[in-house]
Amino acid sequence: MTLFAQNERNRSISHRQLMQMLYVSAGSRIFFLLVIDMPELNACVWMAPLIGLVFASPTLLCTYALLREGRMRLSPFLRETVGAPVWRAALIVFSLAMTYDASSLFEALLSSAAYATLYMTPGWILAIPTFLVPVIVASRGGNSAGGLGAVFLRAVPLLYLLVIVFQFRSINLAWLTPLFGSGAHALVHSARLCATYYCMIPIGLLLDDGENTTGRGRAYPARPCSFLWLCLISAATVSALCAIHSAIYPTVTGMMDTRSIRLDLVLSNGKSNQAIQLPMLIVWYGTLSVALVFTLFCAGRLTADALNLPFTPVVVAYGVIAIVQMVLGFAKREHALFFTEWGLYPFTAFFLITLLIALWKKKRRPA
Amino acid sequence: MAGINGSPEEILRRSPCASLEENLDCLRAVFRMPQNKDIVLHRFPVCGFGACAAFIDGISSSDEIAASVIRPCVTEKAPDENLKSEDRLRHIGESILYACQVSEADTFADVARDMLNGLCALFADGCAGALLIDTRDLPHRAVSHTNNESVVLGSQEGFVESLRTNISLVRKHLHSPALVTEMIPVGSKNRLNAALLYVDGVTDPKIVAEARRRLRSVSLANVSGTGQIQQLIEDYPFSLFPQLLQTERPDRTAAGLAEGQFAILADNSPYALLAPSTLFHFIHASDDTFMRWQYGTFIRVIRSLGILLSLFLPGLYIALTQFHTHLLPMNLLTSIAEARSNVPFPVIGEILVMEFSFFLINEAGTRIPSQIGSALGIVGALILGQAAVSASIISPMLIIIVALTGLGNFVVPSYNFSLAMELYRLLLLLMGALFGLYGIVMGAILLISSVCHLRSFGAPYVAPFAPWRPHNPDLILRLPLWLQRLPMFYAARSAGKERRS
Repeated sequence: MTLFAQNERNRSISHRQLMQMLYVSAGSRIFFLLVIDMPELNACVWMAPLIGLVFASPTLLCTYALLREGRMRLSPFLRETVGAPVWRAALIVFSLAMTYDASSLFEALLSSAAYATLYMTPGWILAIPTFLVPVIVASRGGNSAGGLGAVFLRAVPLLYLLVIVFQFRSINLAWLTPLFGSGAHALVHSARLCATYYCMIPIGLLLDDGENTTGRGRAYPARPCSFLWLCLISAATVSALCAIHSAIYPTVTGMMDTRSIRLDLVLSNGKSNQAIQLPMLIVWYGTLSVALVFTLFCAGRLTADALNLPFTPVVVAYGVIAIVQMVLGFAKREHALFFTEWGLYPFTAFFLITLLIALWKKKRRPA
Repeated sequence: MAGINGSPEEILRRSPCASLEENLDCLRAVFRMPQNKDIVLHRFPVCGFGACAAFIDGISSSDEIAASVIRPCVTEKAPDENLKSEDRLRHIGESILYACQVSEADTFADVARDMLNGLCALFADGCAGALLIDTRDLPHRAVSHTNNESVVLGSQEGFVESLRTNISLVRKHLHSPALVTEMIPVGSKNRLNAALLYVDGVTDPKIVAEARRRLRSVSLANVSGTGQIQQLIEDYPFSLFPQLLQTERPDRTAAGLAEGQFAILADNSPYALLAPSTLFHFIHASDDTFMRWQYGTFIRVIRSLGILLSLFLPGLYIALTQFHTHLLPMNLLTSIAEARSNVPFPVIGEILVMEFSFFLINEAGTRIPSQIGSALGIVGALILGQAAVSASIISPMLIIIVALTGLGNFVVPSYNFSLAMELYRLLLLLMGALFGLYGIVMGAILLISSVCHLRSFGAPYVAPFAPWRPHNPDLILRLPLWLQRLPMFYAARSAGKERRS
């Protein structure tokens, strides 16, 4: 069997692996936001994931309703509801958004790789694994990308536990308060960013075709409230954990190109415990890589589904586009996020309108 | 042979005729007689007509032929009623012979094939066709200990080079009338006797059908054993990881069959191939199940740590000493620096020299004659270890690194899998040397993705972990046997009901 034929067969991802990839992708962005991008607001920005969940809840609830109406097959149900042309256009827009996100992640990965090698390795050599590895992994299919997410999601709590244990003395519960100390503007800004990260979940669910999932493989209970509670508890736990220990001094502003400086502060002997540096590095690179693999896989799958194209070349093409975007400087404009702040609204509107159309059609259908 | 027309290949396609002389001339042509001296054509009278027993000396039992074929035929009185000439072979097979397994041959190809397998062919004058009588006495090794899969607890028997013996060993371990043995010759020219074993109702019929299809479609002229069969039927021939488990243990084979795998056995191979195989099959050993669950779990954890050590230790060493010295405690860093102070080579050069030496010792240990095997220990330990350190070619720390790496490699029960790990270790070593910890992480990501991407006869390689499938608590931790009630995810659906009951 040819390589392409093997990957075509493997393009499907199981539901459980998909959710694990989404946890890592969304969680990594929240981590960046809390620990790296806005540490000067640590005292209250840890609330941002929770408030962001409130902002994103209309979108998530609409998605869940669509899932139930469509019997857990979101993409075919969308196509049936809004029609093939609108469905295709939506998938391609989502793919392009993912590609923009991938370019930001490439930038972050390359910058931190340069730090790791202490500039002993020329940049062009460093770029080879940075570009090749995620593209190869994503193009190999759902089991390849999803398996990576599954392994990483089991390893990272252990590694982060080491970080927390060795930073135990610097844990300061007082940093959880005041809850709204830095002002509404900062909090709303951060919360909207988090809300866009949560929007990755509905887009990821478009990849779930059920082919690679057994009946018992679905991780979610039936009721939407349980799903929201799960998100709430996860977000609160992650953000509180990030907030209560000081990996860095809050002195650097949240600019994209200073991430490597922040990494240096996290990992240098000056502030953080020497023992956490190895697990922190692994968590850092692993999280970036898994998030990057997911965005490339997602972009490639959505376009391949929309335009009925072979999967592997599309993933490779999107990888190249993301790299070109990065080189041209588009990735440096904002943080690694997959929509800008205002992108949440048209995205929510699209899902809400789709739900309304679906309910209207259901009402019109003869009993 | 004056009247025989056609090449040996054309004669093979013909059926035996009623003329005994013509049949014998065909056999002589097929077997290149008189140059071929071990083909025996023994004529004798039966009930007033002529017959001939044809066999190959050395692989057929002369005593068995004399006792069960020739003696009863020669001493048999002619029947009271006139025997029709076309019924002669049937009468001999049903009423005269003392053999248990008698079959008929349709063509000279059947005759030649079965004679080469040790059967005796019987021709009768005036009757078309031939009888094939099982009189096998192929030389083979006695069942003994396994060479490459030793265990502390559990059966000590291993497969041998005889297919029949191996099948009987599996049947001894798996008492089930549902165990099916399909004989499938493999190869296009010199066909190797192979058997496909599975348990009807437990193994998924689609997987069995696929295995059968792949075995029948092997187009190589000469296939000499299961090692070659494995390479010809696996899903990803370019992957470093094996997708079929090769085992020399009948108990392991029987356990795999009971869980829904199929097995392939072949003549001249003391190994069985088991599939579908997942990553966990390659890191589990037979005696994990024979121990109490606490010990089995502990041993598995040790083995898993050994595997991780073997993969990552050299790469981590070079990454930390070259790029991330600030991650090492000062005492350790000083100790490493002092040890390496007189070594003229870079760390990567040291490691590659030691790894290469280790591979050489491994390979030499396999090939060296036993009479001078003790010299290898002297060469390895003293010369390559002690002397190299004394001459400041390598640092003492590296000896420990390479030794731990080697030990970690040897805990893997599957030889093929351990070789794959050795190759990946080299990749991780190079990644660590070029890119430090970043390279190790990227290499690990590539490794995980390579493993997760594979399938073995449709079963994902890292399942039931990724993608998740219902499974018993028996992946890394080996929990008690009474908790393991679920069938394997690749077994037939009906196997679930039987397992739970």
